[in-house]
Amino acid sequence: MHLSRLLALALAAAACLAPATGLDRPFPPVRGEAPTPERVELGRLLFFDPVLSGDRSLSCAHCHRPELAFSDGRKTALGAGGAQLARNAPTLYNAAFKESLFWDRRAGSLEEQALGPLLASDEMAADPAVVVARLAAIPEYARRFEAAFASEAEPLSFGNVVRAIASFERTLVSQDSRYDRFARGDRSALDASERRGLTLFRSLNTRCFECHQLPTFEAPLAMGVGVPSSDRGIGGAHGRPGQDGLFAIPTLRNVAVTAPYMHDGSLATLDEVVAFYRKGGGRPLGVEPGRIHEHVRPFDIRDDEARDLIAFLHALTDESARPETPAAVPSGLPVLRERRFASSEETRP
Amino acid sequence: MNKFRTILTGLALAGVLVAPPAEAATTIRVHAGESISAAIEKAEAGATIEVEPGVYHEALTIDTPGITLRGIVKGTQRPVLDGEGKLNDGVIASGSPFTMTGFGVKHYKGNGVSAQGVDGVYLSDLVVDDAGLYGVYPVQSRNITITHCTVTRIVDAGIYVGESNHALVAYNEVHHNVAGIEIENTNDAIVRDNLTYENTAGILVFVLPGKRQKEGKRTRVFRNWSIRNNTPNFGDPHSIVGQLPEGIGIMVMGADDTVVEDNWVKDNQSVGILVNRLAKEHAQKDERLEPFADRNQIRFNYVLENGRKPHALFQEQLGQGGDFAWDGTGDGNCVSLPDQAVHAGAPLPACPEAAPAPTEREESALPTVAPQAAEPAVIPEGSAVVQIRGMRYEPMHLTIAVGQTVTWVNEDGVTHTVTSGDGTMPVPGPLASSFLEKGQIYSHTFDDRGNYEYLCLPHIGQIGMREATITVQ
Ligand code: HEC
Ligand code: HEC
Repeated sequence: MHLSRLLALALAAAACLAPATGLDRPFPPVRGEAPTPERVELGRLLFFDPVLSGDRSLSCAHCHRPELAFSDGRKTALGAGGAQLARNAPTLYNAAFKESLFWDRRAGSLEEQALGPLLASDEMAADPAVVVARLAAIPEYARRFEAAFASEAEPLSFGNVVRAIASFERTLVSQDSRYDRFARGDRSALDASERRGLTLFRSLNTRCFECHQLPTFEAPLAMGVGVPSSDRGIGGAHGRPGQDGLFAIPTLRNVAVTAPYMHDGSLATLDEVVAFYRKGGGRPLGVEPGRIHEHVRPFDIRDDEARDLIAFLHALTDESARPETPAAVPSGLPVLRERRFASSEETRP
Repeated sequence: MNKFRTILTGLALAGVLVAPPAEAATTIRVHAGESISAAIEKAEAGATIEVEPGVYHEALTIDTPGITLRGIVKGTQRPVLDGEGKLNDGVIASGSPFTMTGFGVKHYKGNGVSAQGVDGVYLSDLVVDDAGLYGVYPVQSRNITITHCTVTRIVDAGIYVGESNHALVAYNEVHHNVAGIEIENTNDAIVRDNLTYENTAGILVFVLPGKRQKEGKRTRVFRNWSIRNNTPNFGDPHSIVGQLPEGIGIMVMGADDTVVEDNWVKDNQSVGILVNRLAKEHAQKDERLEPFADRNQIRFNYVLENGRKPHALFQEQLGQGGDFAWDGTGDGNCVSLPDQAVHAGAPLPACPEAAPAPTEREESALPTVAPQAAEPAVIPEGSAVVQIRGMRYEPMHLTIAVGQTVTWVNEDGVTHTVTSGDGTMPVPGPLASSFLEKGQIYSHTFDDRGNYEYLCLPHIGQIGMREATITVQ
């Protein structure tokens, strides 16, 4: 947490003299190596720079857009050449706290994760040697790697590209939503409907809280809710019998900004998500019952209660750590340029 | 506290729990017809909220630390939270610690009382009926005591403790639920002196997949009564508990280092005490879970007449029901059975003489809240009186007229009950007090002639505490 944020927090606490509530739970420690300012800034530039992709057209930010809480607004992401990828691009906020990454939990660190899209032939299709050569030819990058990894024999390496990006991602924390202020004791931070929604979220009727756990609103567990799709999820990635159809529990922080939802983006709105859970997730949709966790079952709430629940989900938005999108990146390539594909109707960036 | 210090403290503690202020705790009184939620809203950390008898159609959410919800019990009158089948949960608490005594809780859709992530959960003298999925539900909590509660007609577990550490569940009466008491992925729980009957299964010590806390170790189950748990399962067929076959007294599934000792386990049609693994189809959902039940000690228990009409599932897997059954998996389990007991399934060695290792924290380190009548107990006019003192009912045998009331008064410093009995066995009958603390009373009016025998559940072994009678002429 930034010192300024800490101070603001302390002052807020002093101002209303409210003791924290029982909802005020400590976040887990940020995982992995501690970021330094040089690496974070370098990582930010690399995150937005299409120079990392084979054809110099695609950056991380194309699929993780800062104004959409680092999701992309699409059902499933658009890869190289407009290829429709299999999964929805998740938010990157609070990824720093996660024990594993990807919908199927196949990466154990942000560094390992970043190699995925960088090397995938249908995503950024980067060749490590080519990337290093390209970056070395750009004086600003050479200088920034030199400064960020000063003590190392080879400051500019593919491994350090990944480390810098991961350092940047570790600054993308979201823990000052109106819900957090309420948890810290500011009772005016949530209105009556949002508070009812919070209570409903913690009800044994809905059981949302048992999977989307405080304070991160995710949990390092493999769970099935029964989204009908042919994606084997965790069973496919790890080859473990009985885990087909199970997925990571996604965080709900900033969820109001990251539509559409689920691993395949099949639910367009939070209304659709709540309607899905109310009917028992995939139970009425012909999904094999063994793939659906016992906590997901039809529950009976009124329509106004469903609205309260959705209102509460909106109170989980905090984008105060949103970084600035650089006006230009050291490669000189355009930042977030719209991609056009002959084969695809989709032309949005 | 001066402002400067507040800022410093705030700085030091920002992001972590801030201790409740040290000012003297306040007490707020809620009268019948007023709102308990409004009192909770006003309450500061550490406050006690006293609630007068009455019916309250409210769902309470308690996030302030250190709240005590104290129902004022006047004879048979107490405050009742009634969700009328429309509200979701009776109580959801997140503030630490949380104390609640002296309430009725009924007709909720979700749950009776749940404590989520609380350090210090003290629940006592709650009467929970038909309150949804669970009666009382501390989860991801620690230092829990649940005593003197009566929990009935619950669709999953009457009393549940999950993903928690250090819990005492004692002197509760739990019947007509799917599961009576369920200790799930919890370490160092003590389950003693409870009466569980006519559930689908009496007492469960389980390890289930999909939880952050993967283990369930060192639960001690002793001096409980687990009787006639033969109610057909009315739970959610998609849940693991909802799939349990009826007729189970005590079941240890996947848990380790459990000690089951000195319990009365009788008339459970499928199996008295069962030790088994978590089924593969569930276990494979969580590769970090160890699904086998290891080093469990089923020491001496009064297991009688169980397994007489086993559910088809047991018939199929074990060929028979029994007083005890083991599925043959897991290491280091043992059982010591009375001579006449029927052992179904795989054979097991007898338990060592030496007492098992104690739990990590002694029971005395868990403070319990004694249920207390705020007003002195009133003996109904014209009632005959039986005193309970020095481990005796006085008089042991009393003759009264039809229509007369008898009141028992506990004058001992220990917990007693007045429970219909036959020799040393509790039986269904008109006398069914809850667990009585010192100073508490129990009254019953006898409208029919006859001879009514009774006993004290926690003290069946004492000569003066069983085979007592009321003769109605
Ligand atoms: C073509 C679109 C695309 C690009 C480019 C892309 N991503 Fe992703 N990202 C996705 C999708 C889709 C997923 C989910 C994939 C899965 O779970 O299998 C994802 C998942 C992630 C996750 C996991 C989040 C979580 O909570 O599990 C992180 C972190 C991430 N991306 C970071 C990056 C970084 C860093 C880059 C640039 C090096 C990048 N992404 C480039 C589409 C993209
Ligand atoms: C059994 C665990 C479980 C329970 C209970 C549960 N969820 Fe989920 N939730 C998940 C999993 C797993 C996913 C991802 C499923 C997928 O993509 O196939 C998910 C996805 C979501 C998403 C989509 C997030 C995104 O970024 O795509 C939302 C919103 C959501 N849940 C809200 C809720 C609400 C509201 C409740 C209570 C009504 C709830 N969940 C109950 C496990 C659970």
